[in-house]
Amino acid sequence: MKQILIIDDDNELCDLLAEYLTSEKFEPTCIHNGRTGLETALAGGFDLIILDIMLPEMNGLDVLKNLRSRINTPVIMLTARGDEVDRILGLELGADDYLPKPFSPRELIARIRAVFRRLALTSEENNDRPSGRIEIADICVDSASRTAEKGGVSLGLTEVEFAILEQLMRSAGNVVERQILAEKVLGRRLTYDDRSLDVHMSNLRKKIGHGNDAIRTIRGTGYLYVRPEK
Amino acid sequence: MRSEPSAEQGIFMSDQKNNSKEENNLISRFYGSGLFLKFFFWFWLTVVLTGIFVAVYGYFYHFRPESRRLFSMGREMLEENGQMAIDAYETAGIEQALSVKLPGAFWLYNDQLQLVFSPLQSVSKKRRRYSHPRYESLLKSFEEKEPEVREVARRLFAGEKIESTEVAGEMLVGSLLTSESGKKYVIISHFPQKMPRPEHFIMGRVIDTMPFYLLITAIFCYALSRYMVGPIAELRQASRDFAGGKLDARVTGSAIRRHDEVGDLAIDFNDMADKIEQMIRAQRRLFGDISHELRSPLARLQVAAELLQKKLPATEQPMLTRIEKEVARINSLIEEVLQFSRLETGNINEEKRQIDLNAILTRICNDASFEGKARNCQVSLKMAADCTISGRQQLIERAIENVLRNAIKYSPENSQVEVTLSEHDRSLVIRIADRGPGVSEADIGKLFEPFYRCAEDRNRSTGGTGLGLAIALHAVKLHNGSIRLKNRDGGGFIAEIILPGT
Repeated sequence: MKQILIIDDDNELCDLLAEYLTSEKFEPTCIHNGRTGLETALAGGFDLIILDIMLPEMNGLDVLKNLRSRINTPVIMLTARGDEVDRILGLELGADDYLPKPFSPRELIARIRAVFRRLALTSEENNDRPSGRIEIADICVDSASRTAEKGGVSLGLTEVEFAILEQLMRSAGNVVERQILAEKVLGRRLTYDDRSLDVHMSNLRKKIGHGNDAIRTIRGTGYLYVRPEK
Repeated sequence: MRSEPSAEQGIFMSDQKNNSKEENNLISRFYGSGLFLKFFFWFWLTVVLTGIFVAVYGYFYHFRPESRRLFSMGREMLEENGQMAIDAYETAGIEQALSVKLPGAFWLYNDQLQLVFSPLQSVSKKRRRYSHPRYESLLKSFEEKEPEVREVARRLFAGEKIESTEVAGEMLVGSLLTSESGKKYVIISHFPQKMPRPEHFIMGRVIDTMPFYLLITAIFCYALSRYMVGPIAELRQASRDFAGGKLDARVTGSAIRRHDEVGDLAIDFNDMADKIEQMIRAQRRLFGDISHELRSPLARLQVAAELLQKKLPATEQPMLTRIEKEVARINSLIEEVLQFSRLETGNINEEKRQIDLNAILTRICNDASFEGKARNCQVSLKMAADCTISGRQQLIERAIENVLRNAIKYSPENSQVEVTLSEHDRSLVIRIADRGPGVSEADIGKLFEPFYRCAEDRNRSTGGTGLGLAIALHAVKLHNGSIRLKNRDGGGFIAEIILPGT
């Protein structure tokens, strides 16, 4: 059974969520403040963390920053609805997904499953391709160690950003459709006004470097990793 | 997509209107839309009228009495001198009489109306003094006019009172005298040219100095009007900006530094603006805060409802579905209220950057046609221009989406929503035209009001929060654009989002 850590200061909501998650065959633990939440998360043993942004003692974003510097446990952020900055910052700091609050618990379950699905997918792929190392121009991704380098320097990509880059480089020269990319890197299809892929994409582009236009947006279809002309 | 000339004309015409408006603004910037001119002309008129009044008053109450006094003094002198002259004439003859130093030229007639001496004679001894050519010609003309002078003398002998008469352009003054021997004489002299005369005063002084006077007063009135109207124009600009929604608009220029009533007014205006700004900001914050606070209970409600759904038997499901639907509705309402409140308070986190309008439109239209499919409503997209603009992508997207969703929502089944992107006078126009029921003309202007719904709409439950267009308008306004709404020829509704190009 998957262990899930919920860090949210709304006790009642936590209780309800815990009950819901239990009914969905997860094993939830609830923590109501940031600092304890971080400690509990670092203590390990969790398969996924649900992290609220507004937290007493330690802001959710700070928790995430600290968390990411040490462990790679997937994180789903709960952001204030419509607050773009929190969302973008969260994804930039390495959150795997976000959900605007208030949310439907069914949607939360879907997101959780999507994250697990993606993890399973990548580990499968890793098994398929143990020496999955792709190099195009000065960019190099290593599927085994899940790191990306540019000219020998690590790009410091988050899980999702790495997954996007890996997918695009694997099919370099071909257009990767948005929805297919989303399914592969986020583990789910995008809904009507879901911008999370765009946020990840723009973060990824920033990290690769502004002068580099290797990743092209193909209007209305998806993205294309350009092979340099020889 | 067929083109609609009326719509194109609409854009063109309103642009022209804008131009003339701009011209008016230009004029009003310089002249305070009439206040400056009014000030200037009324001040000037006042000053000029005052000047004229002073001139007239001076003439009647100062100059005229004064000239009368001079006149009678002259007459006294004439009578004195005349007396001396006739006494010398009677006792010592004409030669002696002429040697008496008499000022000026005069005619002396005896009671037989014989000329005892003429002006020429009377000045003969003082030739040097009167040798000025102009004076000589005057004397000559006097000789020619002698009969006229004689007529004056005759009337004086007849006992007529004659103040003065004019001969050869000179003022003649005469007096009836009686010598020691009892003989009567008439002496007539002319007043020297320098003697101020009313006609000279009005015609000469006033008319000659008029242009100069007008120029000087105009300059002063101009300066004064600027001084008075300048700060008022500043105040006006500030209050206009304030009324236009710029809550931070204040009077900052010279007006604030003046230590007079206008300066006080400027300070008062700023105080008032501060207070109103505070109030409005507090109110807007409240708007956002309430929505924010609503979210926690709503989040719990949502989870609780779904938990309940798992436990309830299938027969009770419809009721729960209903609850979930309503929760979702409140959710989107809260989101929109927050977004609106953020836009209103100018709390925008997104940075401006180059955004590809074509890509945005393509994506939004794809999503929208997916949504419209359920009702067999198609979205067609036609882009005449290739556009990138500098802006905040999420806001622009939200604006277009809101307008487009409205169009789809009101479209009848099996109809088409036409989206076009074109360029007009360096502005980008996104035109979204549907074949829905349209909106009554009276309601069009109110569509941008938050939570406004037209009467027909309230009866039909089309859903929506009533904030969509208000949000769209705010988002577009943040990019210095505008949204134009109108009914479409042949039924339907047209919304045009106009964004200034880069």
